[in-house]
This record gives sequence, structure tokens and C-alpha cells, in this order.
Amino acid sequence: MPVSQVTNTGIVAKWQLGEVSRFREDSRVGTAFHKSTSKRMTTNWYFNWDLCMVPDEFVNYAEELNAIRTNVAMADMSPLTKCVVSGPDACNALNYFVARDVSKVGIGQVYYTPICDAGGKVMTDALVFREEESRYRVTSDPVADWFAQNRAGFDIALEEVTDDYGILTLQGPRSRDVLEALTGQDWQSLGFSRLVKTHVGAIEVEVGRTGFTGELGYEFCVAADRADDLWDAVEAGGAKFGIIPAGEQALDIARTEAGLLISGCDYGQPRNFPSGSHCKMARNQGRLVSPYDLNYGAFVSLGKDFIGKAVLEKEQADGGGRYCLLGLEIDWRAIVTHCTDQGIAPLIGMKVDWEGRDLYLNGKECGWASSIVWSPTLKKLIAFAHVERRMATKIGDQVSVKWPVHGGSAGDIAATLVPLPFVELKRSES
Amino acid sequence: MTAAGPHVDNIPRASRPTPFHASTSALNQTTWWYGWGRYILPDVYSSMPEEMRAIRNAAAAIDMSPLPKVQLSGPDSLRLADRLVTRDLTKLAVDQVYYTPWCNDEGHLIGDGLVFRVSDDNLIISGELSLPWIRRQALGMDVEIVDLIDRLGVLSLQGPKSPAVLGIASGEDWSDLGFSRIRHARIAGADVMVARQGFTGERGYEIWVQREDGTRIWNTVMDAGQDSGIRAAGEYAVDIARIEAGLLLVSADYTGATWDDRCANVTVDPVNLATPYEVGLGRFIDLDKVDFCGRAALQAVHQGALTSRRFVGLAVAADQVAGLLQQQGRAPNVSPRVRWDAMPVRRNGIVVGRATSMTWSPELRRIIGFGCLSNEVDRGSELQIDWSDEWSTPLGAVSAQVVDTPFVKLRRSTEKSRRD
Repeated sequence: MPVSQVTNTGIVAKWQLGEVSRFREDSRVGTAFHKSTSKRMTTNWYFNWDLCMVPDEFVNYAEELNAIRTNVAMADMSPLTKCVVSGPDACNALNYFVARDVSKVGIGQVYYTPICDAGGKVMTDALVFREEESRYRVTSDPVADWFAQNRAGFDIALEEVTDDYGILTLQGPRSRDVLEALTGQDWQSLGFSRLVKTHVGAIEVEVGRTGFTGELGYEFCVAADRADDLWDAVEAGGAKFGIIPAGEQALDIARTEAGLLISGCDYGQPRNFPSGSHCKMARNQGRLVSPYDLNYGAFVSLGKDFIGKAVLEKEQADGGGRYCLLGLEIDWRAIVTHCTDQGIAPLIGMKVDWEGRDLYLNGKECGWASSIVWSPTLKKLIAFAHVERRMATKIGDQVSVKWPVHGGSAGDIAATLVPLPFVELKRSES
Repeated sequence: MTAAGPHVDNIPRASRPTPFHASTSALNQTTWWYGWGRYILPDVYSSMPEEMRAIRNAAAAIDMSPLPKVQLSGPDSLRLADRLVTRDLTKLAVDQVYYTPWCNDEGHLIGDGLVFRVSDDNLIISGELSLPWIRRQALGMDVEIVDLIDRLGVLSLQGPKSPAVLGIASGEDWSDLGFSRIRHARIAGADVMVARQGFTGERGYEIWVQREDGTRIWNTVMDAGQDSGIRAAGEYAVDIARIEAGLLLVSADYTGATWDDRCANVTVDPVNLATPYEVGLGRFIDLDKVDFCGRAALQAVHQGALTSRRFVGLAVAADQVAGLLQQQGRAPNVSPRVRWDAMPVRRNGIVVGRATSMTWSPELRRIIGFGCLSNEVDRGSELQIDWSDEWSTPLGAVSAQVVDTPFVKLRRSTEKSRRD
């Protein structure tokens, strides 16, 4: 019996062996920076991000996170896929593919937008950068296959250019100091979400003021064959500021603290998304969301036609999404007690949970918690809460998290709804 | 088995897919991967305790491809192999496997692993190896040394139901293949070499495959195991399985006696070098055989009739570590994977050794690991471990018990598999 037909053994419950893997024999597993990053790791831990493996922890994730919050860290963001949409119908096609009206994006400007399926459920979200009048670059989870499935009638070219570039991010309050030291230029005037081309030494780079940590930050986009040179240059130029490399574990916690969500980690991906994640949350079809469930209503342009519009229009008319998004602080001491009372070790994740756990209000299931993780910055166990609106919960209310314990009984762990983000966002301050 | 491999020229760590990558990456429901030498493997597929349970109670497929392997062929192949390892390989029959340690001239362990006698003058050694060391020992010998690491994949099928799974996958009966014996077979139309061996303490088989056959053999084995409840098991579960089975790991429990690029989270200190006697492998040293690496030094140790320390099992109650963390306001993760760094062990305040491979065992419901302790420490002694976090920040003392190893009953060489 092929694995794909077996749904009750728990090994591959919902997807097909060999089919979901986009990995090919000729694929590399490292990014353009792999040679540089692998040398600097003292752990064995890697993080799978689409087809690539990036360092999860270089030396000490808590110190790496602390560098992001209080100083400056450098990190490899290359696996994020980049798809170029170009041709006479580029604007119209992209406007059909994504929820936000991208005809309004100026050349050289970036828009954030959700991308939905026909049911109005969020597949992923993306940054849309307009390079030229009829040429956009979409940075997101892999969307080229999805766009290709929906391109009928549009005169466009689609090209995935992910492997052509390395993306090195500088994050932290001193990131501008490092950038200025590296380029000899003043970067005060570059606004959030803006990009320019420049040089680091003889290396051509595109610099964008962006990031996913909540802190001031910049991203270098560099040709793949110069990536290692750029890594060395940034490391050398940043040394006097105490720059250290940060792994994915620190980045993942940083974005959670900053209240930033990830498709496939915080909510499910519709099964028809052709290049979705393998993670348990991604595959969970009971945890799909609309943009309204994530407070993304401002990014839904109902004045144009796009995939999912009909459903979202109705949803908006009915008063918005089914869920609201809040922060959650979980009583971790209760978890320790619950486990040790049963003689079991509490194994609370030092890494962000990509599976999710059910949430209850007064004994009734009311949604789920996602991205559960210990925040070394706050010394608290934090998460996102996706709570049904009809429960009319508010900040400060108590809910409980169903906490499974292997080899013991599950706990009902008290948690408090709190505002997002968990840390103050500084990325768009001057 | 999980140690970072020997240094490999200029190939970056964790930069290559194993022959099973297309299959394992499709099965992995987490983002967690593990770099082993130049290769990368899933660390956890879904749930470490569930993967452990499959190893102990059903069957598990484990990608062991990154384990270094070297083929020796030609007239002097047996002579060379016999010179490298401490066991007498002249007794090794064709189609048989020996587990054996190997040492440097000082009698310190370089590593341990398996020697396969494929034919009279064709042997394969797999384990923590140093290719330059092998080449040095081969000077003047008529032998061809081939590094097989990039050519072959190893699927380790472990667990009480592994014979049944292998039977379905290969269309053959495996009940008569004895422990440490080799048989050639076909799976999914491809030639494979199967050795009854393993590193989990359970009955199991290593299936050696050509790189290009990896995906279809992996998928065939998984399909064959459906009714047995097979799971793919990641490195985290495999690391705990070997600890439960009482098997020491170079780099984690002692320092291998050659230079290598193991991760710095491992405690590298000359004091952590070990002789086979100290790690309980004395029975695998054949001092009677002709010269071999480390013989003179090992003979001296043997005649001295004592070593000053030995490895024992240690057990710690989980709530002790939980209590320490809670007092310090630290994150409540009692066992962040397996500790490959050593922590000091004390008796009455005096350091009497070190604790290694400390980890939570979900099956045994205790924190277990190994103690490398001074011989004068008796079983009933009151011991304390200076518990620290993974970055060596001290957290406080916890009390530890000396216990027997293996922590679980070894079933790998019993002839009958349990029920089924």
C-alpha cells in the first residue's frame, strides 16, 4: 500500500511521500552564504527554510537574540523566495494574484500584501517590489507555481530568481552604524521599506531598510557569487561594533516578540498551495485564516478583482473575520508543576513551536495558540492567540492552553491575553 | 553515531544532501535538521518521544549515511585493517561484521565502528575514521583505499519489527540471518548489502545502498513498514536510543584521539581522551594478535591491571533540574536535547569525575547519562552533578544515582524477535 493512501498510522498523515518534497537531486541545501556561515557555527543545529538549510544557532541563541535587541547581528535570509513577474500584463496579473492593489505601488517602492486562495484563505504573504513599470519582484514563500496555475489570459513572464542572490540582513539598533562604516554613506534619510543600489567595497549590493525583528535593520541583496565576500566584509566592518551572526532560532523568536506572523507556522496553508511548508501547522486545514482574522483588512483592496475576492467581500460585509489576533502569556510555572507532578520533565521549547496548541475559554474550545516560545528578552512564555470573535474576549482575559505531555496527562495551562507586539517596534523610527 | 564526522578537506559542513534526502525532507514535519560532517539529516521528524517509541516497540528508518566509510581492497587489505583495529580480524569471516575500537599509538581511542568483510580481500570500515591516519598506516602495503562516503547511503532499520519490514521490502525471509552477519539482497529492483547490526540496542539491520537508489529504497522500506507502524526517526531519538543502550559516543562521552572539526559544544580536553579499557571495551582488545596501533601502550595498561576510572550509568530526577531552573528564573526546559558537554561530578564536595550525554529519556522517565568516575566511587555513593546550562553557566547541584548500563535490555543479538 503506498504511503499516500495511509492516513491512520500517523507517519505521513496528510501528504504524499516524495510528492511534497520540492527537493531535487541537483538541489543544494545551503544558501549562497553557506560556506561562510557553516564555518562559524559551534552547534550542529540547522533550520529548514523552504529548500535551504540555514544555521539555527551559531553559538548561543540567547546571545544572538540579545545582539539583535541591544546591538547588531547579521543573518542569512536568502531562502526567502524571489519571483519576478514581468511583461505587458504584469500589473494586472499581479493585481489578480494578490489581495492588495499593487497598481498603486510606485517604482522603487514596496508593498506588503496577503495572497489568498479562491476561498479567501491566506496562503502566504509577500513583499511586492516594483522594479519597473511592468516588472515586479515578489518576495515570499515560493509562489511561482501558484502564479503559474493562475496566469491564464495574462501576457506575463514568471521567473524564480531566488538562487541568483544572497540576502544578508543587519538587525539591531547599531545596524545603521555598521552600514555607514561599510559604505561611507549617510543612511539616516532612507525610509522604512525603501531600497537603493550601492557598493560595499567593490561589491555591488542593493540595500533595503527592512527586517523582521522589530528593530532598525537593513538588508543586502547581493549576487550569489559575491555572497561570501560580502559576508566577510560585513563581519570585518562590523567587528568594532561587536557584530555577531544570528541563527534562525534567534530570528524566529525576535519576530514573535515583534508580533510578526509566518504562514505555515501561525496558521495553516490551504492544501491547494502548491509549494507549502511540511510543518504540522502548515498542514492543519482546521487552522486556515482570512486576512481579516489576522487584522490585515487594510491590505485587502475590494475595489479590484483578485483571487478570493468574492468570499472576502462577503466576509467583510458580515463584519470581518472569525478570529481575532492577540498576544498570549502562558503560565510556564504551571507547566513545570503539571509535568513534574507526573514525574515527567517539562520540555518547554527553546525554539518556536510550529505546530500550535488548542485554546479554551471556560472549558470551550475557542481557537489556537501559535509560535509558543520562551522569550529570553521578556523572561516569559509567549505565543500568538487566535481567538474566535464570538467569544468576545479582551486583553487581560484568562484562557487555557491544552498542553499535551508525552507519557502523561495533558494539562490545561492558564494563559492571559495581552496586546501585541510583545516588544516595542523600532524598525520604522528615524 | 551522531558525532560530527572527521574533518573533510574543504567541503563545508552540512552542505550536502544524503542519498535519502528527497524522502526524508518530504517526511519531516519540523524545521529541525542536524549537521553531521558534510551532510545534513532530520533531527526530529515529528515528535522525539514518538520516534523513540517506534525504535523500541515497532520499527524505525534511520538515515545513517553520513557515517564515514572506507573500503580497503587488494592483497594487503586484511593486513591493513588488522593493523588499524584492536580486534583480531583474521577471525573475521566473509559476510561477517565485527564491532571494534581503534586507537592511536598511545592506546587512546580514535573511535569505534564496524569492519565488514565483503570478500577475502575486500573490507569496509565504517565509524569515526581519519582517512589520513589510515593512509599513514598503509605505507608500503599493497592496498587500495577508497573513501565511500559520497557513494553509498545507509538506511538503518531498527526495532523489534525490523525483520518483518525487511522481509516485505525484499521478498525474503530474514529470520536466519545471525547478529553481525551480512547478506546481499534486492530491494525495489536494486542491489543492497544488509548487515544485521545497529546502534539502538534493538534488533536491526543496516541497509547499504548505491547513492542513486536511495529514494526508491527508502520509500519501499517505509511502504513495507506501514502495518508495523514504522516511523522515520531523527538524530535526537537516535542519540537517546544509544544512550539507553549504554553505548558511548566519541566526542560526546570522550574525546577522540585525532584532530577533527567537531563542534565546540563538545568538551575537548586531553583529560577526556580514553583507553578502550576505561570505556568498557576491554573485551574487544586482542593483545595476542600481531602488532596493531596502540598495542604496546594497551599492553602496559592491561598489565597494570587497573585503570583509574570507568564509565557508569547516572540517573537524575527531572524535578531536581526543573527546581534549579525555576529558582534561577530560567527557561523551564529541563533537557534541551542531549548534553554533549561534560559536567563535573562530586562526592562529598570533591570532584570524582564527569557526567556526559545527560538527557531526558521519555521511555525511562528519568534524566540519564554516563559518569566517567574514579574507580574508588562505589555504586551506592551519594553523588552530585554541578548542573550548568549548555553554555557552561553554573546553575547549582543536583543529586545523581549510579545505575547499571545498559539502561534498557539489549535485544539486538537475540535470535527471536518479540511477538510477530
